[in-house]
Amino acid sequence: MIEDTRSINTTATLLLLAGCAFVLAPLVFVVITATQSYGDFLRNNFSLVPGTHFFENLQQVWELTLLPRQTFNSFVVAFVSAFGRCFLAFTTAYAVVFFAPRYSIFIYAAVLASIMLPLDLMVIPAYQVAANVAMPINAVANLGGAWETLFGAPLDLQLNLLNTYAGAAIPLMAQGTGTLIMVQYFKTLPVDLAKAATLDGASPLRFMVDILLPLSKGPLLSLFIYLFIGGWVAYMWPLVSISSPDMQTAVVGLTALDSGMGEDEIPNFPLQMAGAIMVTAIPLVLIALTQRLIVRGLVLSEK
Amino acid sequence: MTALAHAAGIHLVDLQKTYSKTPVIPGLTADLASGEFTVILGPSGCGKSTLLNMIAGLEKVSGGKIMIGSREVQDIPPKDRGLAMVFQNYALYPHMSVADNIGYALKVAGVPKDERTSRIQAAANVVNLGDYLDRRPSELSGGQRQRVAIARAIVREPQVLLFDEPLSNLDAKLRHDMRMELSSLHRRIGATSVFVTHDQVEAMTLADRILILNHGRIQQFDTPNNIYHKPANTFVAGFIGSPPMNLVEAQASNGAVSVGGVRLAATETSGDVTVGIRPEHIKVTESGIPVHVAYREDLGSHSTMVVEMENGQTLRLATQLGEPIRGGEWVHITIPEDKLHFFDAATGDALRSD
Amino acid sequence: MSNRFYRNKWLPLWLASPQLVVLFFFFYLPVFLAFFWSFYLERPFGGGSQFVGWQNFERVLSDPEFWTSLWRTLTYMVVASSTSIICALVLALAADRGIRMSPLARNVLIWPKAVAAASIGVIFLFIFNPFMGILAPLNEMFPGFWNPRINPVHTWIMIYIANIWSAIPFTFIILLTGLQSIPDTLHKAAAIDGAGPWRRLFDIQLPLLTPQLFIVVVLEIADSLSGSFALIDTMSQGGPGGATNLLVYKIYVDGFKAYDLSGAATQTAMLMIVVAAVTAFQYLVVEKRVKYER
Repeated sequence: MIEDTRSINTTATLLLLAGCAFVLAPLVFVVITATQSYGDFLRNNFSLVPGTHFFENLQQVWELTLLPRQTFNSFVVAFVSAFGRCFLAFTTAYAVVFFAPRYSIFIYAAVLASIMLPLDLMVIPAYQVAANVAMPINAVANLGGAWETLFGAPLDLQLNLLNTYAGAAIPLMAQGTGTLIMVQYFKTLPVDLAKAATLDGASPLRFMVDILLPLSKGPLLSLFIYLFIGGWVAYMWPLVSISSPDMQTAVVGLTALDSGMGEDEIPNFPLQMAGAIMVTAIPLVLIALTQRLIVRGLVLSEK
Repeated sequence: MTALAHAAGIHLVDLQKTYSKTPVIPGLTADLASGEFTVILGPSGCGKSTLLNMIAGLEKVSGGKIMIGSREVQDIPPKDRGLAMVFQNYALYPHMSVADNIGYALKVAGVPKDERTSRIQAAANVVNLGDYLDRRPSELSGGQRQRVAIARAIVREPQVLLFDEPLSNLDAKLRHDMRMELSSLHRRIGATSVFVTHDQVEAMTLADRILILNHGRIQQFDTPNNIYHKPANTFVAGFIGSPPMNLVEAQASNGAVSVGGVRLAATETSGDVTVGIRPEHIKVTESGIPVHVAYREDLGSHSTMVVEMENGQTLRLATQLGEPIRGGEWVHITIPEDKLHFFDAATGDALRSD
Repeated sequence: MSNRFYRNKWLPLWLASPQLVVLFFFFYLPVFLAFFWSFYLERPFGGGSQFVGWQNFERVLSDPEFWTSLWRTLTYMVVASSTSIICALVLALAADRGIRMSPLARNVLIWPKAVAAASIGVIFLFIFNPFMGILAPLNEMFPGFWNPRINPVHTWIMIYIANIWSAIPFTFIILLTGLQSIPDTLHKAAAIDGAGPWRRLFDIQLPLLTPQLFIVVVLEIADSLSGSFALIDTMSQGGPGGATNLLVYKIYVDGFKAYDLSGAATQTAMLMIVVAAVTAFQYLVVEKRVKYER
């Protein structure tokens, strides 16, 4: 830096220490509490002295709760939604950036509009759609009683996605951030690559698979991790769309862990915190290991 | 890989390109002989890249015909036109090895692996990259990348090689080396070559013939020598040569052409003419036209000056070093009559008295 | 130079169609349905729907609870986004100084990204538990000192802290990247012009950071709204006494607990209009003033 800034740097260091402490403190409390037995906890209340029952608590969570199964559900939902969003973002961005027809601008606008309103704001109607995806087909077929006149009864197709992995994951894909990021990336690629591939005899689809896909590995990977974590921590939509506990995701399952207890009973906080560790471990390890990719993903989504 | 027996000429017949009703190329006819190295030269926006892309099939033709050999190709997809192209930024596939880059076209075409390997090796040898086949483009220098791009083009044994400003990203020294390499490469493989550039040095050194383009129209299509010595119009005269030719408004009357009263040469025409005189043809002499040296620059091998005649007309001139002239001095210059170029003052076209 | 090189007429449509299908079913159709149901009333026992005109709106708009909830929601959006942005900005400015703590802080401050808002809600609910949490000793000394189950102010404090905690990573990273892209030469030039560190903060760093600040404001306002549901559902369920009943939570309760489809849809439609208007306003009016060529 430019001038002698020791006092400023000291302040900055203190601020950063405070920030890190603020972020870490809850996590530390979680881990410490998870090491205590329910009995100890009732006796001592909140304590910063670690206990020795960490593995016991984990074992209890593993054997007595649905969290292991729900963690698997979370993995499936997060993976499918992130993979799907990357796929959709890739093909759509390719269509928008590399093709001349003017209507692709409208496609892009239609995708961008979806960024404005997150799914959480429209769970009520989205729930209705998921309850019967064939609804719009029915509605069109029954317009003015057309189907009834032709076949005697109104068309009533049923395709219920509630309580399924598809129903949990696909609506999470209806969001255009990924496309926006891939469009920004594709715009930085030289158009000559497409020209060279064309002269080499590659069709547009072949160019997409042979050239564009390998070139997008980096951005796609960070986008995938970013979206995977986003799918993992999603709360409202799984809560609404999944009603059976063994299909539920872990994040929702964790909040229900203490619900079996009466108002006056003290929840088994050590068990709950052990559950919190189980729910958070996978994304936290992912973030710790792929620090740089995540940061790149975050920065990409800014533009 | 020896000289290609099947090089083919290119014939452009009334070729047109229009972008949303704006004509970029209003109608262009030219014949490029088989095996000839043609350089398309012009300022940016003159339509030269569009012309090249149309020949390659990367842009649709709005009208007219493109013939390669005896085939009409304007409606044939690029890969079937028998041509290959070297791009400005090389356009190498960054995720593929040098060998895969060179062989991608063969792979797409379904050439069997053995034949592919030997053809890749042969093409790489032509550009001296035989030892680099396993590298990624990012591990190569700029010049080496350029050679990969060339190998990728020649591996398909094209009848026509197209170059889209391939040297503009290299530094000056490398550009010079690559020019020589390209030149000898062309002699060896003999494909009809079309080379687009805005750099007149590249054009003068590489071309069998230069096609000078401005606003989508051919200004002159001739050998470098004729382009330099017999520019067809003021645009060509001003575009070729460094420093550029002096173009002076002059009046012809009574069998002589003069600038602001100073007689330059004898002529048969009369009226307003534009007189062109190359800076390097103006000599500083003991006697002659008195001029005032407004500005002088030493460039080592020679020096350039801007001088001002008594009537206010400024001229650029280039001289050998050695004349102890400083800025602000008065000197005399002589303009050799036989080195003058005359152009129609209204149209800019060359007036040929001979 | 444009990348629009391929001229195929229908291929781009095919390529984009999977995305468009997904968007149709789970974005455009829900938006349409929200408005559809706000003009229709669901007949009981699956008897179809009945057009009721503006009746649903009249019912919702005459409900004082809707207005308090809307006002509460807007307040929450402003307070939640500004507190989290200010905290992240201070941390980003500190980390930008390139001191020994910076790399560690850059790593740790991203961790909350991995913790679901619902999980941190559960965790903070425990930590701030009046009888078992960290403030329990104080409660023993001064009974009633801290009780988020009864005192709405305490509940809000808890929610805001949880919100700041989970909002830090995104905002911090974007602001830090923005700060680091300010060329060092500008700092030097300003220092030579006699500007001290504080002066440079307000004259150089913050003005040049406005594009990033704009982005995080837009995103935080949207995020605080949708993120609020997880926090409120896990920490307060709208309580105590409805004090934290934000519109997003109210819609959920009206729709899924009270089975008032039309009422919930009507409020959804109005919330959509508010959010779309806020976002559009930000992009159309504010963004134009914050662009700098670097």
